[in-house]
Amino acid sequence: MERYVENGTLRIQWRDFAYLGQESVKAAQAAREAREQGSFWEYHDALYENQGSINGGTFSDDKLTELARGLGLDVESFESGLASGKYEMVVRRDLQEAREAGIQGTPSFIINGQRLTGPIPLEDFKQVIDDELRKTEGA
Amino acid sequence: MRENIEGPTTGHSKRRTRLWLLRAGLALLALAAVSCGGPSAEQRAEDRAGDEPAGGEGQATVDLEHPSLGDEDAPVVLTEYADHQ
Repeated sequence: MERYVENGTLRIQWRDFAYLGQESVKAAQAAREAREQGSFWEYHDALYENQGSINGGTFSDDKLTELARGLGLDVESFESGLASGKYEMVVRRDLQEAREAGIQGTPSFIINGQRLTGPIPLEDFKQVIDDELRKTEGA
Repeated sequence: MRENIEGPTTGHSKRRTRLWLLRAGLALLALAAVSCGGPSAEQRAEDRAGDEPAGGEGQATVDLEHPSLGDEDAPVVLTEYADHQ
């Protein structure tokens, strides 16, 4: 996948589908805060590496701040941004729009309009991407 | 016999009096419109907004763009919907 991104074939867009509860929404907001410091994907990876029980405190404000500290982010700015809740509406809007688009669970993917749902083997991704690339080259 | 203490009035003078009252009433209405009217609430709100810079002091800036990776003109776009939990 990395190769496709690096050679300009693939663009990956992230949409929050924060449907599992309050900590989902908080984690999504925290990732947006990290993005303000240019570290969305690093923070995104850190969230996945530190998953735990759902809404059991794994992504409490303190834990989310600890992850930010671990990545060397400006913690003061991160904390105040997270406390302000300024991204809550953005995250909830993402969820609403996804539901309106027919997304019902995670992970879900849309590749040039083609929907894939559930854990997809990497080879399947490659196949779809190569097919789509051939279509655009043939057009 | 009834005494006319106001003196005799003609039809012409009555018309002049009514006309004067009508003009005075219109002038008062115009004055009230100028002092109470003015710009609408929406216009005033727009004027206020124009006076203040967007994202001024104390206002949080919110990036509405979706996080993404890769070339904006890439021929293949993968949109991922997921929950971090």
